[in-house]
Amino acid sequence: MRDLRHLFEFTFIGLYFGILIYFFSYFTFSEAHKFLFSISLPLFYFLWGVIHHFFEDRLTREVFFEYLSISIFIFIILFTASSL
Amino acid sequence: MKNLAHNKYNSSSNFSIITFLLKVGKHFVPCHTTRKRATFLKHNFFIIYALFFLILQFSINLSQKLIPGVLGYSSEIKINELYEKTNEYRKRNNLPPLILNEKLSKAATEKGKYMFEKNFWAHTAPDGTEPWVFVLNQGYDYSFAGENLARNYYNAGDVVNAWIASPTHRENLISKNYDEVGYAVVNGILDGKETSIVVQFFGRPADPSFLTSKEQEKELLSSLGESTSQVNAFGEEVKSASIDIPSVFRYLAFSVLGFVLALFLVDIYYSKRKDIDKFTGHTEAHLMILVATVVSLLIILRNGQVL
Repeated sequence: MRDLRHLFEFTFIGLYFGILIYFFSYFTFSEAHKFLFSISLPLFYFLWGVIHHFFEDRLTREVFFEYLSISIFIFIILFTASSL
Repeated sequence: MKNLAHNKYNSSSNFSIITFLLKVGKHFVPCHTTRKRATFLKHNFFIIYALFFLILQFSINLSQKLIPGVLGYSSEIKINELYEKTNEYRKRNNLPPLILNEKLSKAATEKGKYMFEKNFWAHTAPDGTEPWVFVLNQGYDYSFAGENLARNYYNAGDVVNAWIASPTHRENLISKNYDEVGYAVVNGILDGKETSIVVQFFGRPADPSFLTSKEQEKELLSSLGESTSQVNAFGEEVKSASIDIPSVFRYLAFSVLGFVLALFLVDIYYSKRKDIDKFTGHTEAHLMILVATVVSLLIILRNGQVL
């Protein structure tokens, strides 16, 4: 049952990334879209991580900061690339 | 005795190297006693990686202001090559070659300069100025005219290939309505960023007797020579930036992302092998976001745009 839920959650996040990147690839000329994309990808990931671990009863301070720091890193790298 | 001392020295040296490697190696693999990730995957290290990119962006912005022309979009686009590649494509489609026209080239330069002056990236300017105004201003009375634009490409081949890939631009390249063509590569600041724009104007003179002669075209081509003939927003001949920012950023970003991705893969392998159940987030999910970031970067940093 837990494996099935994991499969569903990972498929969901994979699909979200895929769809977001697909639509983004058509709007790369727009600075506003680039910024929106740079925020939405890591923000969704951070929320997904926190909610997922909360329902798994494994949400610790360590896990929270792990998702937060990775999301900040991803945001900065995408934002820097968009502003070149 | 001498030999023994020598061997002792060797073995202690090997020992210290192994100890050193073991000590360093510990930072690359998860710890089975604390059940935590490798040092380089801890959250404070991700903040360090993020800070590195923030400092990089700050340095790029600062250097563009202090030493302009060093960092930017470096391009090796030559007008001769743009012209040759366009005609090669027309030849492949059984069409006669276009003739290089000086007036259309001057009109292209003026259009490029105007785009930087008014800070826009479009065929029609925000004040309503249409591309044809630049053609008519050069005294080129046309029966048909067309315009292709491209920005931030590295070489002429990439520009022409991008136009070929776009149906509307390809239509211009292989149109039977045009006899002549003109080009300009103009560099400047667009939306606060160093940008290199290519303008291509097509035309058919209203009076066929105004067609450029072979001699005039030959003269124009020889005057271009092998130079890139790039101008800035003031029409002065310039060289493109010495260091291409997207290339530098691509190299650094993919190096850091590759390093982190490799560490996460080592994390999965080592944790399974040593049976370490860590109190951390999902490594597979981290790998997914990192792969998504690599794909996104490839899209963001892909060469140029056409219009």
